[in-house]
Amino acid sequence: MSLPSNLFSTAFREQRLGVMLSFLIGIMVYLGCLAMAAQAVLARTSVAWGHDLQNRLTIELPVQHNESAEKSAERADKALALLSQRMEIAEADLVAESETSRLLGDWIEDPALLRSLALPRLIDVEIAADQKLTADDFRRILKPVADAVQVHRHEQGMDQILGFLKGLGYLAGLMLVLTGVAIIAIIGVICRAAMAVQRDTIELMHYMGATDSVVALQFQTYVRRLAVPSAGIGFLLAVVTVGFLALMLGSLGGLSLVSPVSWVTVGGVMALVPFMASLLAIVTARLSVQRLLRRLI
Amino acid sequence: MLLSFENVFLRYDPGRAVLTDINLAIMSGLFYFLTGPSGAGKSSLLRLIYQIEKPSEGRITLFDRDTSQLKHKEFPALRRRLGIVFQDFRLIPHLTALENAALPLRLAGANEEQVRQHVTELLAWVGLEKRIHAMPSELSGGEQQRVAIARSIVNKPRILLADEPTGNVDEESAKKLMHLFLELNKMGTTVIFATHQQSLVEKYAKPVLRLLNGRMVSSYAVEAA
Repeated sequence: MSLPSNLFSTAFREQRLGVMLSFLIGIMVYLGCLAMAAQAVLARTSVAWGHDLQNRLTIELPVQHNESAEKSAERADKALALLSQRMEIAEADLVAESETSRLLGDWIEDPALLRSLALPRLIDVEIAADQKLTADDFRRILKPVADAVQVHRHEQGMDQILGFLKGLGYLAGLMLVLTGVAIIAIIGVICRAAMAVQRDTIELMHYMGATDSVVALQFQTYVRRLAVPSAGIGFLLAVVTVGFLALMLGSLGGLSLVSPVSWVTVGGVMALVPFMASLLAIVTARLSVQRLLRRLI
Repeated sequence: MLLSFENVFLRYDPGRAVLTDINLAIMSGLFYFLTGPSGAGKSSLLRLIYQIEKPSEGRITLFDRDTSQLKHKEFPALRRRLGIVFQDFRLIPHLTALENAALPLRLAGANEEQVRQHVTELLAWVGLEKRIHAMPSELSGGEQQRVAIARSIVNKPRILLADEPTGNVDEESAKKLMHLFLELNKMGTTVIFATHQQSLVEKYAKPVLRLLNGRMVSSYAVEAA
């Protein structure tokens, strides 16, 4: 059966409901895509950061009383060798003295004073995946070379930042859900308005023996024709925006913060938004028209 | 019997009946006039027949089915066996005469070839063979009503309901339209022709269903004037 494609064009073209629908779907998809991109980036970043921090720690070997620099360096090398032998440790690196001095440089401005200090030796450690080592385990391992090692876990003190990141991710997810709810509401209201404008045509079609699903299919087709292109435009604008933000972040040197994220993946999950929005709009149009028709006659 | 009303009431407000205790029987192949002054309930009675309204009381039997027993999804098939012509034509303004007349056929699932051939023949039968691609705004009132008639009979309905079909056209067009309805009746279609024009009723020897204040005051055949 092929009914004329312009059967309900009075509502969608002449009364500008189609323009309104296209415009609102475009905006919703644009916002939804941005929320989806933010959600993807934040979720991936917080997981990556969380994973990094959970497995990384710094071991501090305090300088012993009257110990020479050479002796201290020799002890640090032994400690490093002990750690590197362990299966549970993926990587262990001695932090260069110059790096330690640079880190302290922000607090101790006088280079002479800095050189005169007996600085502790630091070892950066990454524990292998699925392995657990406690601070006491490290003290036991390093007992032959140092009595009082201190273990600094990187995750300590970063919990709040990670929690904040996760919170932002949930907020972006909530925005995505709200976008979906807004699309449902928009389509519902526009279909109701279009049906009010076209009530005579709808009645006429019923008189001629049209089923509710035939009438609903007409509305569904209009909504599909309008929603799909505007969702596509909303998506393209969002891609441009995200690309621009990524460039800006890159130029500010902040891109490394979200470096674990594949931008292809972000684009991929963003592409789900126009697809889902169009599907949601089409299904909502069909269901809301059918529900209203049951009340009409 | 095609259609019967048994003690049918229609009320929009609890205290005010639009139709009161209607009893009638419509036999197959006849032409009926449904008369009465404006507001007598003619249109409401027609709306009950094509199942847009449900009776508040009483029973309507259409094509041997008690309509109160019908499910919502059964109404479309039932309405396809009825043809309807309105006083205000109700053509879709942005569709051509051909597209308007073809709508019921398309809804019934006919293919494009069947639609084009049958509707073109039908429009020629109502005298519009040269206006098939005209928009309603380009047609006179009489021509628009002829398109509406073509649309109402395109599915070969068993009953044709006409609600004041000559009310919006000039006398000459009304005469031509009346001729079409009579021709359709001769071909076997049962016609219920609602009108408040007593002159039409008196001109043709057809059974008359007369409504007054929502009550059926007479149901009888009249002699030709």
